[in-house]
Amino acid sequence: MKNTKDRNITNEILNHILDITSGKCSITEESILEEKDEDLQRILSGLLHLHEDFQFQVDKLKKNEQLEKLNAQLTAKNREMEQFAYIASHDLQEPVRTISNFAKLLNTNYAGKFDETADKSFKFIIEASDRMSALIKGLLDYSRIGREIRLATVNCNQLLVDIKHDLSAIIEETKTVIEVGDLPNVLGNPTDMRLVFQNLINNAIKFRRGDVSPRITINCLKQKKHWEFSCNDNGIGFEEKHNKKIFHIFQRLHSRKDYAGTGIGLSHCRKIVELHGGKIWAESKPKEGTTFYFTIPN
Amino acid sequence: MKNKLNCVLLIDDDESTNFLHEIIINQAEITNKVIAHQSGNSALEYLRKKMNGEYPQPDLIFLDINMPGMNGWEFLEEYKKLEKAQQGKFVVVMLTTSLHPEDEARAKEMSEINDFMNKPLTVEMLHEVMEKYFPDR
Repeated sequence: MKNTKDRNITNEILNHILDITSGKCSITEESILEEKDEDLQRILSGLLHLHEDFQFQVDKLKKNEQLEKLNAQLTAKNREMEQFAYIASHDLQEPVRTISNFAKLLNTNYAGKFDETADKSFKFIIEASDRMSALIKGLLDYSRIGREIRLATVNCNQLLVDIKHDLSAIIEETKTVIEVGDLPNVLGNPTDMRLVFQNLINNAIKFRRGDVSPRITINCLKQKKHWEFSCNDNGIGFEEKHNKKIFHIFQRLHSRKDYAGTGIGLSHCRKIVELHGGKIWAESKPKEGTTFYFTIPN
Repeated sequence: MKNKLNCVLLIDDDESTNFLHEIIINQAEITNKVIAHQSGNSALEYLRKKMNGEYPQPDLIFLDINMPGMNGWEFLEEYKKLEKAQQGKFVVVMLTTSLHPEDEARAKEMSEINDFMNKPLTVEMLHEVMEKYFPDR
């Protein structure tokens, strides 16, 4: 009698184990409580835990599989992008250079020998092909940012000293005053961090007001999870509605006649800051000045 | 052509495009004068200013959409607010590429836009515009 009962229990347990290995389980908290035999209760509750652990591991494996798939797709897309950058640099640059070279040749040898329209046309072809070269180069630089993520401790104080030295010609020429507060050491890519500060300073000088000499103040505040840098200027500023647009590639607020440039600088800054896990934004008032803010995690 | 238009206004930030379009418009012989502006703001200023007691009121305005600062859409928002006497007769929007789907809906709602055309303008396109909007000229 006892034997048959034992065998029944053993069968029940075996069935539960088989269920669990195929991902099913009919044991519930309620069904355990209904069981009279305490030993069996303990075994069933152990099996229920086993089932839950098993399901957890299976889900984890499934998620890993999905992640691996996505990762592979991402790697492929990245390779595609690099290929695109390569095509942009070589295949596009070459015909543009040919156009530019021959337009310059025509201009040198024949300017003034046709009419005014011809001379102006030469000028437009040369300008446009040079601009296209610059745009292609900018696009290439943009796609190259973040390809190698080499992090190092960046001494921002020293970085600003170096940048001021590099820009000394334009700083003197425009009588720009740059004030730098006490800046921290941050973990980042040194080349990229340099580019961010350099672009912001260059912009502040480029978009200066005619009536006052440029004054740029660079500071940093320690927040809970990040450093918040600010770069303030007394330049021409811009209307608030443009404060998203300025960070998009090739977007410009002024005609090329008034301010030279390709419309790439701030989109570079945004890409770099975001790759570092930070954010960038700007506050500005027309004719008063602009403050750019960006964060770098600490 | 019996009667030429009095004035065509070009609004495009690209100087070379304006230069080319001026040449083409002159070749098409559809107007007495072509005025080119490189920004929406300066075009608005031009439209608002009386010359010899009259607003310039161009017969045709060719408007570029993709411009720095004030783009073509923003120009049209301001253009709407002008007095009727300051507005031109017809507005044609010029496009570099086809219209962005988002912009297409926007364009349909703008009664100020009479037509769309791809850049660059050609003599044939200009003659078609003349037949369509100025059939008696």
